[in-house]
Amino acid sequence: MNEKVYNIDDLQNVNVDGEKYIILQIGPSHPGSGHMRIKVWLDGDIIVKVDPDIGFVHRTSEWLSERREWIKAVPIVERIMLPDTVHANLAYVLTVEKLLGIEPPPRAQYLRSLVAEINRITSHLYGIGIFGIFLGSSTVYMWAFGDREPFIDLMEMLTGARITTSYIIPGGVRWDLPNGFKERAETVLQYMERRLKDYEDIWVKNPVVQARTINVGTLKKEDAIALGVVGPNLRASGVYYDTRKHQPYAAYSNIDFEVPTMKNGDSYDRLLIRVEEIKQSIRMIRQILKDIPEGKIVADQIYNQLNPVMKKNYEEKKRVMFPAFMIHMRPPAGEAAAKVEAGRGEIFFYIKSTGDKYPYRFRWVTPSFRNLPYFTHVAVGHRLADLPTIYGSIDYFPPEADR
Amino acid sequence: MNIKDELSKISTNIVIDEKKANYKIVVDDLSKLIDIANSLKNLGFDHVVSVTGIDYPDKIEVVWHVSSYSVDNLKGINLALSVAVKKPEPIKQSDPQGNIYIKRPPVTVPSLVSVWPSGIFNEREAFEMFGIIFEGHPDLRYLMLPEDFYETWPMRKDFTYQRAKVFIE
Repeated sequence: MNEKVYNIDDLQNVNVDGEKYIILQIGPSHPGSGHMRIKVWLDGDIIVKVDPDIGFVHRTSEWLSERREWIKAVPIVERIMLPDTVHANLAYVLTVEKLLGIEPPPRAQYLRSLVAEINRITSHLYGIGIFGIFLGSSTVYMWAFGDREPFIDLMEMLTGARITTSYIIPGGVRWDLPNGFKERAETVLQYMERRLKDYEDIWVKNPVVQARTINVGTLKKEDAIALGVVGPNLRASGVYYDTRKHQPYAAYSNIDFEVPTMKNGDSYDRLLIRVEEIKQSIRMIRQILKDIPEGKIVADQIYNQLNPVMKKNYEEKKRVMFPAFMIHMRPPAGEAAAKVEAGRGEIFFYIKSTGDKYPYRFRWVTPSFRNLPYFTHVAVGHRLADLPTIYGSIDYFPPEADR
Repeated sequence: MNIKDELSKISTNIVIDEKKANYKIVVDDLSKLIDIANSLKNLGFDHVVSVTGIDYPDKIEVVWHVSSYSVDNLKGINLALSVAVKKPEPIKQSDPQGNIYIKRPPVTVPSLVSVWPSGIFNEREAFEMFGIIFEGHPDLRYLMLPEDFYETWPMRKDFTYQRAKVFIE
C-alpha cells in the first residue's frame, strides 16, 4: 500500500491538470458506486484526488415536507433511508414531541427502542451484504440479505409493515406487542447468534477478506473528529461516541449496553464493528422483552382525543390507527432539534415552527451525507482497486445522502 | 464545567431553553463570527452537524449546529450558532424574448470551513439551496442541483418553478 500523508488544506489545492493525471468517472449508473458519481484523478493507478458528485437521486425532500401538514412528513422521512426507516421516523417524532411538549408513556418508549434495535440489525446486515458483493463474494451478499428476512418479519409482526412502518406517532406507538412475539423473537435471536458464528468463519476471519481490508482506507481518530464522520465508522476510528449513550432517547437510559470501539479505523475495523453492534442489539432486544413495563402505548393527550370507535379498538386490540385528527396538529412556535443513532450513524433533524399548519423550516442531515468526507480523504494514496473496498466498508447509501 | 457560564464568556447574546435542550448563540456582528467560532472550538465543540439557512421575508438566517466528540460533558449538547443577514432587493430583468423574471441576489457570510472542516459539504448545500455565499470556502460549487437551477435558490420561500411552456401549449 502506498502510504501518503495527506493534509486537509493541501488536498483542496491539488494540481489536477488533465495532462498529468487520468480523470476517471465512476458511476452514476451502478458499477459498484450506487446512484452517485465518483470522479477520480489517477497517477498511474494511484488515486490522487476524489470528488464525490452526489445528487442523482435528490428528491427535494426538505422542500416537500415544508409544504405539507406536519403529520404528512412521517412517510416522507421514511422514504429517504429505506434500510433505516424506523430511526428516521423516530427522529422526526422526537423533534415534534419536543415542540409539542408531549412525553410518551414508558411502555411506548420500550417499544420504540425494540423496533429500533430490530431495524439496526437489518440495516447492519444490509451493509455487510453490500460490502460482500463489493469484494466479489456473492455468498455473503445472499446470506446477509436472507438473514435480514426473519428480522423484517419480526417488524411486520409488530408494526404491520415490512419496511416503511410509520409505527411511531407523536405521543406513542401504534400497535402493542402481539401475542407470541416474545417466543418468535427469541427463536430469531438464537438463529442469528448461530449465523454470526458462520459469518465469522467464512467471512470475517477469511484471509482473503483480511488481506483486502486491513490497512485499507484508514481514518485516524483526530481526522475522524475533524471531518465529523458518524456512526459505526466513527467508532471504528476509536472515538467513544454514541447518541444512545450521550443524548439518550426512547428507553436507552434504562437499558444496559456497551458501545464497541476499534483502534485502527481501517476497512476491516468497520466490518468488525458492525458484527459487534449486531451482538449488542441482540442483547438489548432480550433485555427489552424482559423488562418491558405494562401500561398505555400512547400518551394521555392523544388518547383523550380518540373517538369512541378508536377507543373501543384500542381497548380490545391494543391498536391505534393513524389518528386522522393529527392532520390539524399545529406545534407552537419555536425551534427544536433531535438526534437519533441510526444504523449508519447519526440522524439530525432541526425544525423551526411558526405555529402554522406547515413546518416553516425542516432541516434534515443524514448519516451518509456526513460520511461523504470519507471519499475525499480516505481513498487518496490507495490504488484504484481499493476504491470498491472503501466504498463498501463505509456502508454508504446514496438516496439517503441526496435526500 | 458549567456550559452556561462558559458560553456567556464567549458571547452575551445566548438563548437557552433547557427543556428542549436548545442552546443558541446569536451573533449580531458578522465580523465577530470567526472569533466566536474559534473560541467555541477551543472550548471543545469540534465538528459541524448541520449548516442551513432559514428564509424570512426580509432576512436570511444562517445556522451552524455544532457538537463535540472529544469533550465528555459537551457530547450531549447541540449548540446552534446563528447569524442573520439582510436580503438585497430583488432585481427585475428581461431576456431577449421579452420574458420578465426576477433575480434574487445572494447574501454573503464568512465561511467557517477554516475552523470546522466538517462543514464543507453542508455549506455547499446551503449555498445552492439558499443563495448564501460563504466567503473563504475552498470549494464553493453546486452539490446536488442540475445546471438549470443555476441561481434560482430553490429553498427560498418565494421560489417558483417554471413550467415547460413548449410542451403544455
